[in-house]
Amino acid sequence: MTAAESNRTRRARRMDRRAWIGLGFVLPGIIYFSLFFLYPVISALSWSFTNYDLVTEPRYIGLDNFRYMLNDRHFINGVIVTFKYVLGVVPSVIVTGFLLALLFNQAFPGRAFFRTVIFVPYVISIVAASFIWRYVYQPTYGLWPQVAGFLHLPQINFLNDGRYAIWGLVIIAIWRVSGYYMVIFLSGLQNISAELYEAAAIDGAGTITRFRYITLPLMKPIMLFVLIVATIGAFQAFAPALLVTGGGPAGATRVLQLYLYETGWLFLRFGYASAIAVFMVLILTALTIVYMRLVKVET
Amino acid sequence: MSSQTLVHRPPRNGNGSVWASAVALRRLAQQVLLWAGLLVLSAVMLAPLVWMIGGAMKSNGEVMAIPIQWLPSEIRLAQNYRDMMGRIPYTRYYLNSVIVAVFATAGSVFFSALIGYGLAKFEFPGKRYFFGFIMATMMVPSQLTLIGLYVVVKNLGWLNTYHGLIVPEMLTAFGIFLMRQSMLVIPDELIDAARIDGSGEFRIFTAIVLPLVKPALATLAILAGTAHWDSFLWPLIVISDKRLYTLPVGLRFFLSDYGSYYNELMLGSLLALLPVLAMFLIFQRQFIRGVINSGLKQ
Repeated sequence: MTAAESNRTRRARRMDRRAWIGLGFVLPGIIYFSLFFLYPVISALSWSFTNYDLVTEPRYIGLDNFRYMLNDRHFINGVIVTFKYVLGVVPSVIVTGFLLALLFNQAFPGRAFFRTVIFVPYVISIVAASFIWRYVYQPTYGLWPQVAGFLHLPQINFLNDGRYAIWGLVIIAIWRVSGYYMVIFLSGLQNISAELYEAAAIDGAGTITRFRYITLPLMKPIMLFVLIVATIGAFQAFAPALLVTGGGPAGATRVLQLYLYETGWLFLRFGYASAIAVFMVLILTALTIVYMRLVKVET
Repeated sequence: MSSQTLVHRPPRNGNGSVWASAVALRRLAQQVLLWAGLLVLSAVMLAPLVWMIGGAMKSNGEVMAIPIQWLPSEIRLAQNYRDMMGRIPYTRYYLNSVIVAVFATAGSVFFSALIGYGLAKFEFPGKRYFFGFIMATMMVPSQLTLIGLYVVVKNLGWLNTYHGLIVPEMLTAFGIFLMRQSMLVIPDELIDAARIDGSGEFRIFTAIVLPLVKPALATLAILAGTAHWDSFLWPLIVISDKRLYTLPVGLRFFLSDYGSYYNELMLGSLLALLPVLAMFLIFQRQFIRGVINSGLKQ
């Protein structure tokens, strides 16, 4: 055996030992994600084809859960309410977040202070925020009816008027997350090199041209990301619907996630709840693909 | 581009000083307008919080007074706290929240670092698949895991336990990813030198690797701590024993049982959000950097 060969076998043996050590470091993760991710996901997928109720053995019922959805008016109501909420929240927070980011990307005295103030609602937990807004919206003695009266705005009862209740929840979301998206957009704007703008300015490009041909295209990946994240977040809204309006009045704020929770943990219909979860994931996946196509097509 | 868009420089001709003062005046006017707008916006953002703090200080009669009573006649924080304690074991909920947040954060930081180290500094068969799998878990919405996870925890006999609250929500793909990224840049020579000195592998991890990634550990601790302190849906479904309620769940049942006591509900919410708010105000830079990092993981 030559020296080089013995060296190689020794290295191979050492790599072997190193591989085991590396595996040892990662092992807790393999166990954890198998037990608390992979197994639950596979279970939920398979239960969506059963009548599982947590007590008796699940029985295979094919696509019955999905067929049942089509005639379940609570489910259809949940889909409509959720879409209203998503359509209300996503464009609003993207527009306000982006405009705020453009504003705060410029230097002016007091910038850090105002940026902090606008970010603060995001730090408030969603549960505390829900209680606060329930108190704000209280008819007669809440803050909102007072402000509406003072500014001569329509006295909308966001808690008890089914026509407006979901928009009351939309307002809470805009208040809470605009600052978050501002910070995300701001980090993107600050990554655009100042030289690009300077070069364009030398070529005679005005503010609007520079915005149109430099800022917007370079912000596209972040735009896509925010679009996806905001949609997923809005789709999963739960706490405000439960705590501000309790899903009411008459189901006007019973978003899908709340309906899923009630179906599973109040009525123990875990097979059907799994099917609802599968439906939600399919919709979200489809939306993500559509978004990716949309943003790509433009470039 | 910063100041250019705010200030439009007029051509420099003729009487310079007149122009200069006109520019200064225009700049000042813009500044004042901007500030006025931002002050209104700040008022809108902060009004609900001020309303909550005011409510927490009022008596229940003052909360519901018509016409509205803007200011509390006296600051009744202590009295409201005693009244709330008469209805729910608030300090117990607070303690539960502290226990869950502390252990879940410690576990999250420790295990994420451990797994991240294995992924960053070792080669073993299947590593790429495992890493890809962990990254893929980020793409799966939580609805799909929630039901199965509940049944797993139920079958383990972990319903109504602290570990049932802590463990299933402890590790996130993002935490592991953050750790791996921060450890990739540690020079291998440093680790090999310690091996030659005869240090054990775990000792190298704790004594050499961990101190080098302190900023990332702090970022993860802030994010995980906030997430666990605020967690609502998971505690709501795994805990039915009132003694184990965390703050969000305890306050939820306060609302359904004593919903008209808004002064006490506001006080309970205020005390519950203070730790996170304080942490944000103290570690603002790290907090925001963490939020951006966790946002832009892709």
